[in-house]
Amino acid sequence: MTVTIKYFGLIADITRLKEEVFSSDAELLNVEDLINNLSHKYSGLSKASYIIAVNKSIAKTNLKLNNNDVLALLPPFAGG
Amino acid sequence: MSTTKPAKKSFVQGAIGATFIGDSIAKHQSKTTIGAHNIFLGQVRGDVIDGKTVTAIEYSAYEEMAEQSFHEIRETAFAKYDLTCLHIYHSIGIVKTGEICLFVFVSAPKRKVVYEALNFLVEEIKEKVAIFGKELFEDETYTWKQNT
Repeated sequence: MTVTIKYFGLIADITRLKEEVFSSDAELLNVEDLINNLSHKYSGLSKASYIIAVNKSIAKTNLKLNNNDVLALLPPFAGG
Repeated sequence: MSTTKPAKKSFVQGAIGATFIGDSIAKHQSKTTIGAHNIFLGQVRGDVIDGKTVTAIEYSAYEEMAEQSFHEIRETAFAKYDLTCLHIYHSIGIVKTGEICLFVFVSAPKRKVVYEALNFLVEEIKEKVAIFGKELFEDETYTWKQNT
């Protein structure tokens, strides 16, 4: 399975990336599995505040991921 | 949800100028069913944070998702209130202290509805649109803004 992950604001400061492609041999992966993986990769992520969007909709952590999904880690909004 | 209004783009590069706002008002003179307009202008504040003054905010966004959110907010407002038209413009990129970063413009036949609709729109934008603000200080350090 391959998914794209986008990072914004403070989260992009932590990952030092705006976007990356994540591949896994696991057949069943949910949002939480992916976040656990990213939290190991990027120290600082577990302390940060963010919500997750999958294919431009806010998602819960138990949502199952599909091949080619686009995830985004969104820190607190600051529009206006 | 069905819609008769075309998809619009809400992001504007940099500050929203007085001329742009004035022209938007002028364009409505031909719409003679309108009896009331209401306008919200968000301005970048020079907050002092830990002794340092904010000189500008650099806005970024998950643009594809944000445009979708603006669209949904617009559709909800049209369903909820008797509006003739509404416009939302938000800055992307750097906006200096004192400049305008958000322009929300609602028009309706009668005045009461424009107050409620404008308040609804501004609150929804602040809560639901994936926009991020980097508050820049004079010494080139920064902090990330968070809506309260």
